[in-house]
This record gives sequence, C-alpha cells and structure tokens, in this order.
Amino acid sequence: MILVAAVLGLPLLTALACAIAPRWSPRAGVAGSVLALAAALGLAAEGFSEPPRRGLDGALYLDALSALIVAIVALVAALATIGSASYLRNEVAQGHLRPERVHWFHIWFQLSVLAMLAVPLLNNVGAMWVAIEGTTLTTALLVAFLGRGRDLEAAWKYLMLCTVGIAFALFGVVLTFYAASHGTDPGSGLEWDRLRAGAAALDPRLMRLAFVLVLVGFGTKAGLAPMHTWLPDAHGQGPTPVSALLSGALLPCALYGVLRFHLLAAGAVGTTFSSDLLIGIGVLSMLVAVPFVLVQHDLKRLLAYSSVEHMGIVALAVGIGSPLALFAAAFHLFNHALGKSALFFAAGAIGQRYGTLRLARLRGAIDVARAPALGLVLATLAISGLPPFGTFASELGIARAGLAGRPAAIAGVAALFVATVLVFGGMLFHVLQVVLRDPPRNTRPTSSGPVWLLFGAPVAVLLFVGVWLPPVLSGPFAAVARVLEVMAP
Amino acid sequence: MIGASDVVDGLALALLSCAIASVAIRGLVTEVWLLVAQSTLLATIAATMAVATGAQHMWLVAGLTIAVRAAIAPLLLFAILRRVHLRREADPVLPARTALLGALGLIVLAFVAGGRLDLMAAFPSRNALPVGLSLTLLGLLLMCTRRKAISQLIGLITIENGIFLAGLAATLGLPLFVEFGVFFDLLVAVSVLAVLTFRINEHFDTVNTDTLRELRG
Repeated sequence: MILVAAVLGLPLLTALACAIAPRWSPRAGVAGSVLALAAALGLAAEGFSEPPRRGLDGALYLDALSALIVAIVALVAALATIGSASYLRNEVAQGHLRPERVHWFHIWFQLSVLAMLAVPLLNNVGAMWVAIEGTTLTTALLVAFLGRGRDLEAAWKYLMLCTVGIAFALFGVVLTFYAASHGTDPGSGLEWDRLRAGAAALDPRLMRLAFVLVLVGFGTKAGLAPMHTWLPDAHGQGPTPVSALLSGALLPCALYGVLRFHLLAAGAVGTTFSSDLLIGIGVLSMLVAVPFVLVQHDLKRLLAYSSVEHMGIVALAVGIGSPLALFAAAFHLFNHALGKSALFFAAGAIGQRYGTLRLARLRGAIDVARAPALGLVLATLAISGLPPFGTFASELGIARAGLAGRPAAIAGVAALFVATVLVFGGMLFHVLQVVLRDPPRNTRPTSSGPVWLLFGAPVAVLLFVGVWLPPVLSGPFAAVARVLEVMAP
Repeated sequence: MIGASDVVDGLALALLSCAIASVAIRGLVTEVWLLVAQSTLLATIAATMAVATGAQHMWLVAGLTIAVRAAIAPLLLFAILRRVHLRREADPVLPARTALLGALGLIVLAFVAGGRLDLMAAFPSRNALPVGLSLTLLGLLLMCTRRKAISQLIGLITIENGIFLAGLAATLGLPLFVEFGVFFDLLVAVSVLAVLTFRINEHFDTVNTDTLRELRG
C-alpha cells in the first residue's frame, strides 16, 4: 500500500513542485517520473507474484493485469518526460513556445500520468470510468499545448469524440450496476472483484448490452476502428512526448477498461460473445489502418495509424483467448509501448530538424540527423514484426494460437497476416524515402542532447526480448494471461 | 391520488419537451436557458425520488445537479457567448423542420427500445428510462447537426443528462462517490471545452467547427 501511495503521490507532488518552482520544472519532471517508475516497478512486482489483492477497504485492486498497465504507463511516462526536456527546449528556440509556459506542460503532463496510473489501480469500475475520462481532459490540453490551428482542431475532435464515446461507457457502467443490484451479491456496488466473483448471476441480456456500450466507449479511447478517427489527429498533432504518452501508455490504459468488462461479460454471458466481438473489432482495426499507412503524407500520422493496427492485434489476441494468445497479448502491449515511444522520439527529432512532418519534404535524414534516422529505421523494423525483434515473437505467438482456435480466430489470423505485411511494406517504404533520398539544402539546427538513448535503448530491449525472453518478463506475462483466461479449461 | 411515479412521469415528459425545443430552436441564449430548465427538472426528479424512497443521498444528488448542471455549466456557456459575440446558430447542417422530424423518429425509437428492455427499475416510472434514452439520442443529433462549438457542447451536456436520468430511474443513481466523480468530470470537461472554444475563436476568428477540417487521411 505504501507503494500505491508512492505511485499515485509522486506525479501529484511533481506537478505541485513544477507549479511552485517553474524554473526547475524540467528537472523536477524527470526526477519525479523516474522515482515513480521505480515505485511502479516495485508495485508491479507485487502484483505479478501474489494473488490479487485489494486495499483501502476495496477501493484499490491489484492483480497481474493492473500491474502490467501500471508498469507500462510508468515506463512510457519516464521516457517521455526525459524526452520532453530537449523537445521543449527546441520548440522554445524555434519560437513556437514562450519559455514561461514550459512549466505548464510539465504540470499537465504529470496530472495526465496520475490519471493514467489511477485507472488500473481502482477497483470500482465507476471510479475507473472517472479516471479514464480524467485522462481525456488532461491530455487534450497537452495536445493543444502549442496552440496552432491544427493543434486546436485535433484537440477539439479528440475531446468531442472521446467524451461522447465515454458517455456510452457510462451507460454500460450504469447497466452493470443495475445488473449487480439484482445479482447474488447486491451489496457489491461497482467493485470489480466482487462483480467478477458473482458474474455468473448477472443478467446476461443486460451484460451483453453493457459490454457493447463499454466496447464502443472505451474502444473509442483505445483507438479501435471504426471509432478511431480522432486518433491520427491527436497523436499526429500533439507535441512529440505527448504522442509517445498517448500511443504507448494511454491506449493500453483504455484497452484495460475494455478487458475488465470482457471478463465480466464472459462470466455472465459465456465466453464466445465478448471474445468474438473483440476479434471482429480487432480485425477491423488492423485492416482500416492499412490504406492510411500506404498513402500517408505525414510522418507522425503514419505512426498513429500503426497504433490503430497494434491495438487491433491485441484485441484479436484477447479474443482468441487461449493461454498462448493471452501471453502474447501481454508481450505485445509491452513491445508496442517500447517500439512506439522510440518511433515517436526519432520522428519528433527529425521533424524538429526539418521544421515539418510532411513526408514529401523529409528527405535524406541519414545525412541531416544521423542518429534519429538510424533510430527511425530500426524502430520501424522492430515495430512491424520483423524477426528477430520482440514484436515478431509476440505476433508469431498470436498467429500460432489463432490457427489452433475457432474459425473466427483463424480468420482473424489471416487478417493479421495481410495487415502486418502491408503495414510493414508501407511504413518501410515511407521511412526509407525519408532517410535515404537526397536531402534539402537548408535545415534547422536543433540540440538533441542524449536523445538518441530514447530510441536506442527501447530498440535494444526489443532486440533482446526477441532473441531471449528472460523469466523476469515471461513470468509476469504468464500471470497476466492467467488473469485474462476465460475459456473453459 | 397522484403518486410519486406520476409526478416523475410528468416531469420526465417536460424534460423531453425541453430537449425537443432545443433541437428546434436556433437562438443560442435560449438554448442555454433550455439547458438550465432541463437541469432544474432533472434535480426536481431526483428530489421527488428522494421524498418517495427516503433515500438520503438523493437529496445530495439533487443539490449537486442544481449546482453543477443548472448553475456552473450554464454560467460558463454564457461567458463563452459573451466572449465570442455570438447569438444564433446561423446555418445548421439540417433545416429545423428536418431536424425535428429526425428527433421525433429518435424518440419513437427510444420509447420502443426502452419498453423492450423491460427493467425492474428501482423506481417505478414508465417514462424515465425512455426519456433518458431519448435525451441521449437527441444530444447526439444536436452534436451532429450543429456547426457552432457551443451548440456541440450543449449537445454533450444533453447526452450526459440523459444517461443521468436513466441511471436515476434504474438504480437511484450510482454509488455516491462515483456520482461525485461524474459531476467533477462534467465540470472539468465543460471548462476545458470552454478554454478550447476561446482559443479556437482567437485563432480562427470564428467558432464554426467546420473551419476545423485541415486534418485528413
């Protein structure tokens, strides 16, 4: 419980520190988020190793699934905070940002991280809803932070679509509450662990409707097609550290909400209903991303559509539902968080150097910005499932599990194959054009500092886990798979 | 003898007519006043349920509804209207008559669906759940057919009101601290959207959201 207090308290204290001492805010941000990462990893270790635990009289809940999300959020947040220092310095130097506004970025950033860390730790699904809505509100201000017309447009769309979407999820929560008040444990309220224990007695008709509403609602936030239309705008337009945070941390966080209700619906309705829906929406998300990746005109939007594809892959894996698929789903979330952060930092560094993110104007990056260009190519290979990177291992696991499963799962794997190959081809084509063609005459000087570590280190880790998955990771992934297991043995 | 259920039924119908009126009307000041009326009716429904069931926390919910939905949110909306010098929703996507027809269709749909759902609601009221569904759908309609950022905000609050009413009828509201959270979120959402509206107005010199169409593909 001390660790929970540390994990949730550190971002809050850091935000306060940034407000009190604006000049120190970059350093306070880094220190706070690294400490929070340490606390989160400690907390996650508890969650992975022990049976599920509840705290504070049932307000908090920690199992392997929440532990995974906490670890991913804290990890991406720490990377993004470290990256934000040089990013903001460059934006100030290029005149896009007044120096006296820098500390506001750090304040909102820490508050966003706080809301994201609260989502997996809250036991009450109503409170979880509040926290997820909180992440929308705080991150929307970050997307609009630079205040250019396109930023405002992206933030407006993001807020409108996600707030409406999440209103549907609230309807789902209300229905769940109603179903619970007529179930075997009427006093359970909205506490997830008690709902799960009494799930078999919940009215299946209502829970079916509730799951669909929640899938639409939190699915909007998780970037699942066809509700994904805000995502390329917000992820493409936001400041680079925010893009990394939204893609690597916030998408899994929202998907977590869907998964919790998937477990409830599976208990109440039977396993196939919600699993088939997840497979369907996963396949749609993977396929929708393909044409937009192939004919993309903006580097960060390219990466955003790749996020839509990857969330689809995770939804597919959870829908397949065998232990191997669930293990691979957890592994894939981890891979995506690392790979996508690396990609956004590399793309952001290149974009600042050229002063644009239009693919047509980004040329010859290998001569202009050697380290980010190398990072971009390697991270692209890593994220699109090329062996020997970790993403290859997790996608192979999902494919193998799906081929051994139901007809729907086999069809899903076919879509996975098509989408992965096409997205890989499209991304590599665009990225190689950016890196290899003749460079333009004039580019802007930017200070990058030790930024190459931000894409170098994640890519190295992805390479390592692709070759050999150490028990310190495979144990937790297996624990997550056990939490998500709903199929009859 | 008029029971509490009949009172709630009547109030729900009044609420529905407010929502229909806001689909038909284009003056933005009237729209905000209609929102105030909606929220006041909602609070009255909560208070009636509090009297009828003796549930103490419903009084708190009613009070919060007055404070947040009928006072603070409309005040923010009026502040926006003053800042951006806007009086009317000039050219909605749909003409008023078509929008009204669509609204009636949605209401029929909501009543059919609400009837089929057949909940054993915590508070016996024939109209509360279908009206809640109707408000949600009408709010969506408002958001889709209006161009001004403020009208879209009003649509959003109407959606929230609908869900709130359905929740009241089905379960006498969510657990209290969740309810607090929902109110808090609504408050923050309206403030954040207000800030964005100001900045959109400053930057584009208009609050027409169809100027926001640069990002594609």
